[in-house]
Amino acid sequence: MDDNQIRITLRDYLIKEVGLEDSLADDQSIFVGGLLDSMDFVGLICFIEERFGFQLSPLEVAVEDVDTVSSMAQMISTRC
Amino acid sequence: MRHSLIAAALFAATAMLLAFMPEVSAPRLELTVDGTRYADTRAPAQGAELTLLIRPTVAKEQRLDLGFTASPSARFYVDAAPATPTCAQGHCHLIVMANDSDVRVVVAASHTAGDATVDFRLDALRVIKQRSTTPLDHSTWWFAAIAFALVAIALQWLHRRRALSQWLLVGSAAAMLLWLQPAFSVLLAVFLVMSHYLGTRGHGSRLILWSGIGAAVAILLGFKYGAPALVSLFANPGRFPLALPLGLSYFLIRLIDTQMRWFRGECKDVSLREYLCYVVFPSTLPAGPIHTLPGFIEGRLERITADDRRYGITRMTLGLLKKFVIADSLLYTPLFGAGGLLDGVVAAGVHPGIDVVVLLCGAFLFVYADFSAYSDLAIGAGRLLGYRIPENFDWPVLATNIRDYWRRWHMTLSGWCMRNIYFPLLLKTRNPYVAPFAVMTAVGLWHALSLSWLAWAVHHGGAIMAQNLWEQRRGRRKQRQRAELTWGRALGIPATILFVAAGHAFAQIHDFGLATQLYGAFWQSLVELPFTLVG
Repeated sequence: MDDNQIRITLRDYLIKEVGLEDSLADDQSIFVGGLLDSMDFVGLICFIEERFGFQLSPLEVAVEDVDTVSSMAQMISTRC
Repeated sequence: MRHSLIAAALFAATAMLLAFMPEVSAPRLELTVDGTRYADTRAPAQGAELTLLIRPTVAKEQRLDLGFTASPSARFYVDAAPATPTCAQGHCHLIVMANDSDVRVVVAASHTAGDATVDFRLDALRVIKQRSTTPLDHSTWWFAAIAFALVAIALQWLHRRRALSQWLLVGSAAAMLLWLQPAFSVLLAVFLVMSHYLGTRGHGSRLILWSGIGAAVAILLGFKYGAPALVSLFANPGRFPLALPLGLSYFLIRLIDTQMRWFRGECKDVSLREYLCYVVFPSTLPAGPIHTLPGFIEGRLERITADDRRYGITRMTLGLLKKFVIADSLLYTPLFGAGGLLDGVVAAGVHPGIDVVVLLCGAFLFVYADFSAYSDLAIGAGRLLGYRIPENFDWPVLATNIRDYWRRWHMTLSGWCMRNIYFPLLLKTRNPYVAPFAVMTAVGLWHALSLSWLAWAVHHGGAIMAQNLWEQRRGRRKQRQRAELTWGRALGIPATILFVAAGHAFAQIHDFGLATQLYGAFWQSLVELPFTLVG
């Protein structure tokens, strides 16, 4: 799966499942910026692990890695 | 569920530990009645003159509440000056200030009233507030200001030479630390060099990570709680004219943040010079903001322009005005000064009323003005030294709910907690309730290992959990990105201010029993106030 497809998958999840607006930008801070609460975030993490087939380790992943669609896509593409 | 149970058990164990931990800061008491020493200071006593000697055990400025019953005609003297306790229904309170020296409270029979003896019984001695004092006097401050000015002036020419300017900053901070506390400076230097050597060379080693974090926490606890004489050097922001509080807590949590980055393979190429400059950067060393290593490197200005100098001086002037005029003169003195509102509320026995609401809302405003003034000074001084320092506050008094408040208050600490506690715990436990509670507990105990701060953590952590639950029950909210002001948000502003103010009962009052009493009185006042006003 290329970087663009990963972005589309993540945006799809965030808009349809979490309820963020269609105008969500790829570099918009969603966690630190307060668009996701803890419950949403746990859901997002479970979605990433299930969809892309790897485990996120608490010490190896930084919050910046999952704070925007772009950073998530980059982090996922290096692990897939 | 399993993680919630583990977290609850850990929290209960911490509470038990704090509840049964001996109160190290409580002063010792000696009671003498007509020249005879009494073994039991709480026993009923009778005599022509009683002397209660209060002997402080820590190098802190303490405000004490003496609760007692005494003959109505008794006269009181604190260090030979006449004093008047506040009495109601036979029970009295006397507020006394204790610094490093003993305080002598004399209770004497009134000969003019025809009494030969006086009855006295001490019920309680409670530490209302305490703050660390430092051995830095005004002349030391003066020399520190001159040293800062010289370094800032030298940097106007040297800043473009990166290595030389950074060694100058490290050298000036090291000289200050060495002058104040030689032993600690040596320990710190060894620790910093070792942590850089191991951290930048270890490839994802958990042993190095946990050793580094463990050593940082051990140094923090050891110096903060193990060496009372040294504690005074590393106080939290307090009263500005007396202290240059060198924030041990602040640079140790910078170390932890960096250790975590090195473990993940980030910033491995940072030089020892740049790392030392980041950790001991003079403007943020005393009280933050807590910048990150990448933020510090990116925040270095190419050159210090006239605009930067103007900005730095303006921001520092604003900080000084905020500190001396708003925080100290307009808020601290009437609220917490000798004979201020706090003394009045405690001496009256802490009853619900408008004064309790004013006290705690004022406490919130005081801490905001005081702490943001330190941040203004740090940001302004940082710019003069050639660095952009991150903002620490974003109008927390306009927060519309408690989560919004924590995004606006002490933002660099919130960011640190988000990166190093909240996020790893959320990933580890997958439990959206454990992480916020753990963050608040860590922040509370970072301030002080006391039941009052643990209760403060429950107050804030519980509110964040409640907000999470409430929002989940309301269902998914669409259009989260929109931040327009609605009636709900507008009402949320005063509600958040009142909620945060209530928490200041625990943040401001050292004695847990008294803090709880004040907390209860605050909420009761808010419930009764509308009826009182209508009535």
